[in-house]
Amino acid sequence: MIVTRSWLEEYIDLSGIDNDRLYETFNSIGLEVDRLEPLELPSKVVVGKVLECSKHPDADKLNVCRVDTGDGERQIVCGAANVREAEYVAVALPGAVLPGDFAIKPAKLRGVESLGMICSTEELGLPHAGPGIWILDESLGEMVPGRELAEYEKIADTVIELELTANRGDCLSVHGVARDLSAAFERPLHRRETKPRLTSKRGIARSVDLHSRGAVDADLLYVLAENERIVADALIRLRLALVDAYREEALEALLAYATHATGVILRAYDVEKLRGEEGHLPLQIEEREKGYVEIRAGETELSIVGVRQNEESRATAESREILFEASYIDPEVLVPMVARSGLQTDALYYRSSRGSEPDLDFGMEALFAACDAKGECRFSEAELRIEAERERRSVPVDLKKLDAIIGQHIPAGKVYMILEKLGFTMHKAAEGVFGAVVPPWRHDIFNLQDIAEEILRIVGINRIDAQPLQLTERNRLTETTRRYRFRRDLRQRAVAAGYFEAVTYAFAEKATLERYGFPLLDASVELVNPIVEELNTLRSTLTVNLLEAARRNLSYGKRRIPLFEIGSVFDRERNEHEKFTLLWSGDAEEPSIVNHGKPPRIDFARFVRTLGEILGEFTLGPCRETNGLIHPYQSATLYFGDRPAGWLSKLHPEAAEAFGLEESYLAELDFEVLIPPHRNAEAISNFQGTYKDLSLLVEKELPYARMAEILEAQDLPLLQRFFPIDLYEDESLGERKSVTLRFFLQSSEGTLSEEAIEETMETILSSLVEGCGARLR
Amino acid sequence: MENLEEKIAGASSLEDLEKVRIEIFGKKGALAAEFAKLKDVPGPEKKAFAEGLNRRKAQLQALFDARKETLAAEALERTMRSEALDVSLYSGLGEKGALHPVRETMDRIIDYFVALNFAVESGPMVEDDFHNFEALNLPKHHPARDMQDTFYFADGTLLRTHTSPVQIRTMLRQKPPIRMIAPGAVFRRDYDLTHTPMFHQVEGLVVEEGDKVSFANLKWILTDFLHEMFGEVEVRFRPSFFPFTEPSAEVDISCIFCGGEGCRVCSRTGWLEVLGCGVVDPNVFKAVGYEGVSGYAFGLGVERFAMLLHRIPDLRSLFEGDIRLLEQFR
Repeated sequence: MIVTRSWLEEYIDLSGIDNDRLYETFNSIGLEVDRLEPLELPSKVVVGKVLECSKHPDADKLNVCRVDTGDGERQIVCGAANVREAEYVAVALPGAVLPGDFAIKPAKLRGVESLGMICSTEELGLPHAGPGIWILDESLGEMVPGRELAEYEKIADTVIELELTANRGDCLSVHGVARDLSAAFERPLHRRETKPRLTSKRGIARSVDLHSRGAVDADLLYVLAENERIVADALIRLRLALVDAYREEALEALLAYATHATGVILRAYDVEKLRGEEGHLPLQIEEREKGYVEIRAGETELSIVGVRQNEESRATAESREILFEASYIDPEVLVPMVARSGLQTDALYYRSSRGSEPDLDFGMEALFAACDAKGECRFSEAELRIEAERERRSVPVDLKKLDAIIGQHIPAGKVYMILEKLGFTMHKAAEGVFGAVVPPWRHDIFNLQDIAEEILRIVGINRIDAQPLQLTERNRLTETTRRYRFRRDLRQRAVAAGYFEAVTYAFAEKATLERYGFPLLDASVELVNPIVEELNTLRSTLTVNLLEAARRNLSYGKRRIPLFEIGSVFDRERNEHEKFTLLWSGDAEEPSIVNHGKPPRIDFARFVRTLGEILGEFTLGPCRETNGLIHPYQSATLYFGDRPAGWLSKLHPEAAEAFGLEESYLAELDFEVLIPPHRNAEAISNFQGTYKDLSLLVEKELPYARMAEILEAQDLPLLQRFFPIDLYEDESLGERKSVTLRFFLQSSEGTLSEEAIEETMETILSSLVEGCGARLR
Repeated sequence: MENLEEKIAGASSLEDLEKVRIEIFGKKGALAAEFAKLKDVPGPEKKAFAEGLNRRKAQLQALFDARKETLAAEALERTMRSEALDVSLYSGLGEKGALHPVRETMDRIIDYFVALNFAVESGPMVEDDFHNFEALNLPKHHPARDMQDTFYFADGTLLRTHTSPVQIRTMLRQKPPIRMIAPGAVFRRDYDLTHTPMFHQVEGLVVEEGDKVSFANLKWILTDFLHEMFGEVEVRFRPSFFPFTEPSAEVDISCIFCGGEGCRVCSRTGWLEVLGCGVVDPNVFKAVGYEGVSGYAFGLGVERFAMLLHRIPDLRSLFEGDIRLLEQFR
């Protein structure tokens, strides 16, 4: 909503209130100021009166004008088509500097001397307010040739743009904004009662035949006008331009002006076009469904109240006989109907859907004034009126409860004063309790908390003392809090292991997920209005997003790309699962003195080691997952104990090529499984233990995990742990490979004897010989 | 016997000195030879001879020990010198990663509220109309419910447009008193320089029995919170409108870039909008079946906080996994 200071001053006296105070007040009463801009007109731009206008001898499109600029007459060459004798115009005198550093100097145009420039609004840094040069008139103030335009209050105005919240339809007019200021400044709100200057003897009933079928949910007021001359004066044009509502067509301009001033929805119909056979305009009003109030001429739809008007029925400044309509419909009735029916709406719907001004006479009077300002119309003395039955809401106000909501005592007198200024009427019920009748333009107020909001904003939140709340003690360490803490630990460890945390969109591209064999949302639960093709579904993996991030990083020249993300993915049924996903692409280290500038590439061992730094102890088994990113011969399922936590893999060469990446390794793990279980300590043996190594020849294809499985099954009491320490493959070994294992033997009961050690090692060997055909190397 | 002192002093290494030791103190050394003479010394002179010899031995021993200490120190110094490194070559070998500034900012926010005994709560990203809109007093035809703003699914569910549905879920699950925050990702159908289809919010809710909770309480905690996050800034509350709170306010801090003078970041206003808040609307309590309670709620955008706190100019860069940005937060 844009207003200007001089326009506000038609409704409220702002003397003694400077722009800074106005700015602060607007913000503190909940009308957020987006822009408060005093217009700065260049100096040496003055009012001029065109005394004579003749064609330039050598240029068809130029006029040579004699202009009175107060200091005498001067000759100015002007190219505008609308320069006319006797008009007042804006003249930039030599020495003036117009916006864009355009200095005005005496000049010769095609041989004719020109001592200044006749300006358009744009040339003066104002918005477009009419074609050609700017024609001034008395509506802007007394026209005195030679007077600086910057001295005219209505020209050097201040433009104020307010960002209104959705509930404040009542402030979609200059008058509505002034009403809020009147409560804030405790100053009266003016309302001018205006009668039309000329009235017509002809009654409206002789031209318009109004039929209303039953009660309707709308208020309507009709006045008929005989158009002698409809023009929009300079003030109306300028103000509309300043509030971004400029209309070239004069009648449209007058309607827009009166609506912007008062908030009343105003329309105009061309009676001649709509006249029926008997010379009457047969106006039919019918509520087709709740909130759908149609205005018809015979069978033709003229308009739907609050929604739109038929273009054909629209009157213009050329129409001879015009039917003016002011209307109001409750947005609570209107908006659901429009949503249901999907009706096309016009620009005024923005107002009617947020609540337009219900005082129709006020709007109509503003329209009379606008028509009379420079033009001439005869208005019918009688009018036609329809009023909906509407109950006024009354909200019970208990002052104690009001204080409790705000947290501070507000004196009763102050509460009364504020509500009165905002248009409420009060009925006292008991001590400290009263009923507040809500004004019809505040359709957003229903309960005591709504009233509290009004009081709080006018009193000013800055006047309320902050107070800590005495809270009720309770254990608030929730499951989510615990998970959050673990997640944070995990993130810190990933960072310590060299990874950068990424946050990517929870969306993915269906085609990409499909290409790599990840689950897609079932059609019955799919996203219906994606924002772009690349984000057209929910992601079922974080890997693809990280690979895309890696590709971008590579293009920025990054060679070492370690990324991780903890985030949600969605399965076919759209259930949400939290994943911890890591990607390491390219170099394993930064180039440095240590690696002579030739960092090694990431490899399986290095990648798994980083996982170990983050996750602690886990085991790897053959990969049970399949998707297009997994390398069939360098991939694994990761287990905590016997619980699978997810997969890790070298990036499949085809995928690596598709993403344009070097060697890359990925892991996608279930966050749930990573949450560490509770642990109890085991007794520590103080007896000396011993290490023994065994080198064994086994079949090439035999996974180490199989050997481990066989050894675990033996359940040997002395064998505390074992691990592989060497792998050797050679042609001389044929179809076999050599695996060296290291065993740690220890007893909790005493020092180990040579025999006991020997016995255990023999059991180990024989179990492997029998279990997987191993033999000593 | 005469040049023994010179020999000790002349030893140039610990090995040399060891040879000298054997020569002097060894079983067949010079001292042993002298002591052997003792048996030939006549009785009355024996004592004096032995005393002289012992004195000599002690002097030589002291000389030897001192020389050994010196040579050992020299040898250690040589060994260490051979290990000398230009340590300055090894700067910048640290290869720690970094937390994402949005998550790190969220951590800080959560820390503050957990320290004030707030519970952390969570809820699903895919929500239904009731939890995301209806229970929050967002009437059926509120502009925020337009297809423009919300992502919908074929089954009529939607991606939550704010973290507020977590309030509703928590209130439906438990009785007052409630003191919770809900951090998480939210979604709006908006994609341009200053909007991303996903961003993060932290929502807060406090509910107590009776009319204990007031707007003044909200003012206290948010002012304190903003001081914790941004230091000594001015905090301004402006009345505003949210369907789920009444009275509602937006909260600004004095611009941290220009100190309130007015600059490009604060659009020359001197203020930065950082929070929305208000006293919980009675319709919200009605929707969850609460009676006779009062409460406040607030919500903030984590990206906005992160961008202000770390002077990050471009919102979209936060979602690109761009290491050039992330490595600045190592």
